[in-house]
Amino acid sequence: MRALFWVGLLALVATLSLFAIERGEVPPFMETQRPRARVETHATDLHLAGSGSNLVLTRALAAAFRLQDADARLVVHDSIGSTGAVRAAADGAIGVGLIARPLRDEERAHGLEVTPYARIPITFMAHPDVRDRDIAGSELVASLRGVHAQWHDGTPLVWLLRERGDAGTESVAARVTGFAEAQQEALATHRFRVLFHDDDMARGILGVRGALGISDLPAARAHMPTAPVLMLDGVAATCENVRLGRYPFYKDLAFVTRGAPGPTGRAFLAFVASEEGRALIEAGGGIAFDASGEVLPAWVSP
Amino acid sequence: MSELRGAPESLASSARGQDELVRELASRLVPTLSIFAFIVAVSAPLAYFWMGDRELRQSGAGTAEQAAEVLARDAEEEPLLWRYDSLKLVEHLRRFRASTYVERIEVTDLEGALIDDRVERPRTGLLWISAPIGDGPRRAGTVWVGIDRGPLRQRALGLLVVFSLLAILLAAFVHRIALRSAARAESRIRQLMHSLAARTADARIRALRLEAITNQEEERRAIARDLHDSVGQSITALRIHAEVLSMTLEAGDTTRAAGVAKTIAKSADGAIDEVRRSLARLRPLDLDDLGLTSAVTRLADDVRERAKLEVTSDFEGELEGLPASVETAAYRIVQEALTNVVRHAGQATRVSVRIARRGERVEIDIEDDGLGRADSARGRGIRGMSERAEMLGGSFTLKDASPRGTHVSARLLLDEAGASSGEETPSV
Repeated sequence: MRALFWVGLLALVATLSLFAIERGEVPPFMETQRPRARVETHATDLHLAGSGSNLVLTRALAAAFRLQDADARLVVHDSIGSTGAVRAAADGAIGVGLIARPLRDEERAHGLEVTPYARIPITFMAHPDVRDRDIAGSELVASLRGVHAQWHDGTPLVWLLRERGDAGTESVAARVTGFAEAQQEALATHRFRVLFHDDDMARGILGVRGALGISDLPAARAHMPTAPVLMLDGVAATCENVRLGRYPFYKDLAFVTRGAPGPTGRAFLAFVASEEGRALIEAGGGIAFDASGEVLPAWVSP
Repeated sequence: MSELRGAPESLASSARGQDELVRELASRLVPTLSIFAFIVAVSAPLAYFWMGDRELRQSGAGTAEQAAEVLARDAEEEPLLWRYDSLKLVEHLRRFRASTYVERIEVTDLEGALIDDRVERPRTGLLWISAPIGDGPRRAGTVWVGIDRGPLRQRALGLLVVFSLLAILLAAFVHRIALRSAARAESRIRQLMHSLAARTADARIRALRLEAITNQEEERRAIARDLHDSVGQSITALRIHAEVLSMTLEAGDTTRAAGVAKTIAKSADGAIDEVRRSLARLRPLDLDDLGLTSAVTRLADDVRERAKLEVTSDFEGELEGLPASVETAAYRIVQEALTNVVRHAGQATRVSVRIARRGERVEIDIEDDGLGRADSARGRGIRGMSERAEMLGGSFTLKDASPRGTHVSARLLLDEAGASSGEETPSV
């Protein structure tokens, strides 16, 4: 019994030592709740920032707008994502946010105004050396699962994934059977590399042999002219096919503003909706929304 | 206390002492096995937790550094808006964290404010690992990775329970094996000790018998010498006096003849006394005449009268008809013990003699109230008492009595006396 007592006592000491091992650092937010810092940009400038899917068209529109109004001071920032755009616009850090997805429920509480301006085809991009020009939805899923991850010439197929919540990927996941589950599994198992920016995707597709990634038509034309845009199940990713409903993969771009935009903002949005602006959108690989409501995203009330 | 025992009993007692050695071994094994059990119980769980904790820290640091590296690039490109860009990265990492132990990923700015305050405040108890976003003057904030060590701790505790049980079982097993081996060894030692004791006892008895036979021969020579020197001389004198008487009667001197006849009678009485003394040396005559109890009672009476001591004698059981060797040994032991009381037990006023028969054993106890300080190594008389007891397969002890005095105890075995009755065993 005495032996049991001592063994029990020592085991208790050992148990307590499991809880006494160093706990590491203590983050400042665990000690006091600090208010989130607000970012102030120059009030005289119109700052635009948001989803990378918008940037090609927005930069082209901003450049054309500046040509019309030399005094206009527009700054188009690099990608901060749709989520960042909503938050930044709500904070007043930017004048116009650029989003490529509908507002989420919690984002609607910010009272932001959403102005859709374009629909762009989502594209499946391959490395320039890839000979394939067509890919089936089932092949997308199989390769994502790692089952048949090679091109027809035997080159290993390397998926370049986007982070969860990316509008383009979610659009594909909603329309290709099994894609969402395969993507979830690939992300959870870290089977393929995950990229967080459109320009990273462009660099990856051009630089990684056998790469396959999801992008959009404006980005493909602007940043990856040598990379093949794959047809999906025999349907090309063109604005025409999107317009006719043959190609179901697209995303809708919109501006978000906190309340009514300022003069520069109003002028810029008016320019985007103008004939010239719409022509620029069409030339850049997008479908300009008709202010009359002929083509509007389902998630925006006309 | 001073003690004399028969050799077999002494060796058997040594063998019984082996049990104490087993207990001693058991008591010494307990602390050793306790330490052994503790080491077995805690080493693996602690090592598991320590290695797991290190792995978690490395994993958390890796996640934090990777995120910080991406955000540092964003912060460099967009010093104002990087924090909004970090939201999608943090959202993604939260959902597809590198390890199931990573419970939270947070980003703070330089002021320590959370970039994403949309989520619930992290719970306490997490292990936080951080990595700076940028360095030096370009530092923009910090990535924090909160690791939950609860599952690791629970697994370590589970291991601790399992290994504790294992350690206890192992310790009990080793304890049992060691003690069983020791017990077997002791059993073997005990057998050897008994065997050795028996052989020693046999040798001792043979030596005692040889000594007894030698003593017997010496006694016979002494008796023969006495008979020759005293009884023989007395009979020679009787013969001479008888011839003188004859010649005196032939001469008709009746007066002188009467004197010679008286001289002859006196010489005859002396011869008879000499014969009686010799017979007494062979065997106490009172034993044959009176039996053991009465002979011992007479001894006690003699001592009472001679030494003015209060002597009591007490007898139990059937003491008549005992083998002669036992009767003689008992008588001689009592006789020697009483003699020692008279000679050595200073200030003794009382002595008790008790002889009892218990089955096939006769127990003899003589106790006085003298000064005590018994010394079994002292004197031939004590050694003689011990040898008499051992000759009969018994034991002899001499020790101080309580509260004072000396206690002589002898145990004589009847079956041993019977077994040796066929041999030429001295009974003097």
